[in-house]
Amino acid sequence: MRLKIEGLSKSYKKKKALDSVNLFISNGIYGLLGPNGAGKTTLMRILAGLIAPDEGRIEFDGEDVLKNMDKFRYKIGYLPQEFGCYKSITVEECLDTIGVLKGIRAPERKKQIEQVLAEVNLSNEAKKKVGALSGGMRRRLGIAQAMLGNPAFIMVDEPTAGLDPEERIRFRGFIRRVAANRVVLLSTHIIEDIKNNCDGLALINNGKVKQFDGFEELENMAKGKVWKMVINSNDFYKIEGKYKILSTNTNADNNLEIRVYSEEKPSEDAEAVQPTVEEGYLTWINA
Amino acid sequence: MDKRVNKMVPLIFDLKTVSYVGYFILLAFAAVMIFFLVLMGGAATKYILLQTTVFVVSVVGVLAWILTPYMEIVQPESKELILSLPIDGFKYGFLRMLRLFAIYTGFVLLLLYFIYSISDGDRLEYGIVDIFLIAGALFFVSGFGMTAFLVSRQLIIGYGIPILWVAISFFYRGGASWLWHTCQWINPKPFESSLKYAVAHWLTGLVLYVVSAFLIEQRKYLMR
Repeated sequence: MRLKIEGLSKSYKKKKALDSVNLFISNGIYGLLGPNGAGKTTLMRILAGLIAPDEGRIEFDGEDVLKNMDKFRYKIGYLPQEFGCYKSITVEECLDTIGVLKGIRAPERKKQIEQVLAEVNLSNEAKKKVGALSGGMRRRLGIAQAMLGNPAFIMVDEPTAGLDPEERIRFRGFIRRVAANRVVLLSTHIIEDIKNNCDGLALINNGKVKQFDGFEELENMAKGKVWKMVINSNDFYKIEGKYKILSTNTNADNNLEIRVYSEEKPSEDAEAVQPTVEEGYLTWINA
Repeated sequence: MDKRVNKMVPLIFDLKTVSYVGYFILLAFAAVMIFFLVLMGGAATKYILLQTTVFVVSVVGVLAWILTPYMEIVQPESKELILSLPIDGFKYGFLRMLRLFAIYTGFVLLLLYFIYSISDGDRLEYGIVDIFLIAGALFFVSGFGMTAFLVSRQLIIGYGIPILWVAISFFYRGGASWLWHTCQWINPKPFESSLKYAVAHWLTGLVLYVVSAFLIEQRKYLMR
């Protein structure tokens, strides 16, 4: 399965939310990483048929999505950034209703609901009202509903927002299991989610998208620009004003071991280091 | 791809999503009944007043019953998901609204029949045309409310405009309501046939139901 996006643009008044976006995604988990307001949600909403692009083309398995949106909706599982519906009914009823709206027949629906509830560890909460669930549980319910109907294309917008570390790890395992033979597009501003989950990634900022072949390519964007220095903690404020500090650690001698971003070597004793994904991301965002 | 069947949402779902608002109306009916039948015992016009009040409450109530289950498609935290689903206007909109209308109106008609059956002559008419007129008025108001709600994407507008319409119809006795004198049953225009008002309400209600079903499919508009 393949998703191909070509020249996709969308403007809100004078602001370009998406600027000639090109993207090619095949089976597996694909990460879309960018700061808040970069255009991630706009892209997701266009793919979900909620807003129309100004121009561009989307193909899924060779089929024109924008011309066949009614048909394409059956192939999508979507978890929007905000998921807070049907608070007065139980978890099971909520999934049943969404299953009905997705057009899943009754016996199959029941089976799928049991399965997804077990996958997101909500089986014990099946009879609880949606309004009584915690933020993390509601997020898991959101993921469960996206899975209903066995969609070929799953989109999750900020899926781990509000999840605690254990739930995040569980989510990663879950999304990995469901990604087999499917296209999963995961949008986030949390680098950890991308690093630990995704087979490929694209960065988005100010409506422009850059696709990367792998994490190494992104890391290499910062090659020669990330330096490790050991400084006295009293000197930190001097360095802070001069360079972009990427990380700090206190070493055994009570000195600060810092990583800084700089186009040039910041000091004689600074040592060039292999950049991380995060540092590559920061380089691209600030370019 | 397997052949999918997009069915109506389960009835139990609708009965639960009508929420407290919908059932509060039933309490309002009970309060009206107690007030007139117990506290106003002996008053000559009590049955007419009771029927009039029940009718007025039912007009507000039909809005609660129709609009509340659809609130999810305009609320920011839920509309994105609902509108991304393959909902179709006919089943998710038209038929579902019709089902809610039928349940609620059936209850109102039974309640009015009960009042009629215990009254002793001081009462409003309750023949076939009257039933047709009452149900038609509720059908029109629910379609009007739903259309106003979807066009404005504001619940308050969905309630406000039809209630204003009904108030004008009642206080002006159909003076500024043309064929859509919704209160013809309780405050009739003299020397006018109720049937033409009933037909006008049913036909316009049908058009408004179709318009609502169409609006439900306008995802891009509802997402704004």
